[in-house]
Amino acid sequence: MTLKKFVANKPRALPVIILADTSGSMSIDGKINSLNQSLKDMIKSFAQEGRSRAEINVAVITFGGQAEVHLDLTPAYQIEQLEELQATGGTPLGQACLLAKELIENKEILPSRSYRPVIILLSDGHPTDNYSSAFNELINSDRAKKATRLALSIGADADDSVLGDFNNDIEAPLFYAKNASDIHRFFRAVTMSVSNHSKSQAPNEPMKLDFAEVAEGELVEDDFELDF
Amino acid sequence: MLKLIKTSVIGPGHISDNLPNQDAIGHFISNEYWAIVVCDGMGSRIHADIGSIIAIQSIKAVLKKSDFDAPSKTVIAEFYQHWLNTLKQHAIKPNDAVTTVLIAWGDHQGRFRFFQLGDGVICTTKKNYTKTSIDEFSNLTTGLGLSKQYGDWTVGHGALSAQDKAILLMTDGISEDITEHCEFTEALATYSSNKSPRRVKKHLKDMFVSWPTPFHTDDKSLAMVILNDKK
Repeated sequence: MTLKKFVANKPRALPVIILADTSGSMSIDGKINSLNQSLKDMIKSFAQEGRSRAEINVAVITFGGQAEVHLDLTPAYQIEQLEELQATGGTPLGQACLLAKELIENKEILPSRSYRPVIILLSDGHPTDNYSSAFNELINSDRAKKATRLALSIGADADDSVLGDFNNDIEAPLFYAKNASDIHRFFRAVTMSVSNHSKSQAPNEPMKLDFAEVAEGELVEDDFELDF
Repeated sequence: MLKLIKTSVIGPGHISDNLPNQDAIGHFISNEYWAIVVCDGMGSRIHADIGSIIAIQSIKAVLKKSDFDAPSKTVIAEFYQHWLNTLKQHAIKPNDAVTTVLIAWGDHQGRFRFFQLGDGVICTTKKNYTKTSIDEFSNLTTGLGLSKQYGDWTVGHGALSAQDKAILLMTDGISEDITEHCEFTEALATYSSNKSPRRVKKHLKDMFVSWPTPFHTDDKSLAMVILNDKK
């Protein structure tokens, strides 16, 4: 009897993708150190989730001087050590968006049976490349539109307009980090939220979605005339 | 001659949370027609289990008295309203009882119609009838109690034959972990061909309980009709 051979032996992944600004300004006031520690703590916490209903996967894309995939999408429990992020150069957000879009649209890495990804953009400055086209392509891509996108604005010089446009979680508006410890607080909140979601009764439902009543409105032609 | 297989097993997630199976399955067979129905109550809703059971009852009640050639929108509107009315009698809000719907409705010559709202899969041994997008992720669904648009439904018709002899409905607890839906349907139909429904059901239950996918949590339900050569 070979019915079992049709069943996938890999768990469904809950992808968490970090787009981290590692430009030179992140070296000031301990921001990069806080970010490094926050990421390590988050990955460690995800790796220790013993009762998860989804396998939390983490990827880190950095943009400082140039954009690169710092950590390929990897199950958290398999990440032995995250190489320290180094703060250097400008803020090539556009390049990072291209890498992120490439990752999100890769059906081999992110099969459609994955749970809805969580994408986090954090930055302390204005983009230094011609980012607009790549940024819009990312946030308007079919898959990124369905992801939970959160943004962290670090310090007074961050481009809150760009970060605000990235954020699509109406329940979690743009988070502001005034100092290094706020970066920790943000990642603790993300860690708790993702962990709880992975253990929830329904990880197959969008994280933090408010199951409000079906909105009442004018019937359009396609609508049923139902007495709710 | 038709052979009907259906089974539903509670998932480990609901067992550990001390919750009931939120899937429901049902069927009817008359002299002329048959139907199989599979519903998956949305896990976060407090009355998801009741929503799926009432959906089965409503669909069966409406299909039994419906014209097989009636327009899909009319048929859906009738059982949807039946579901809403029944929930109202139980003082349950639709939003607390959201459920997906998979239906195959056919005659004894093999002609069938299908209706789908929300996730899960409807397929035969040769064709997958479920609209799937590779851009979707497995957590995006809709159901009775959420959707009000006919456009959210996938509807159509087909025919079973000696070459394409079975139609299978399965909840996402199964379909999301199955790599090749039509091939799985073919294998299950072949396995079932010389065994009693009871024996097939036991085998499926055992497989669902020892499901190979790590961290699987969902309830698992399927219903299948096989066109049998035997008269």
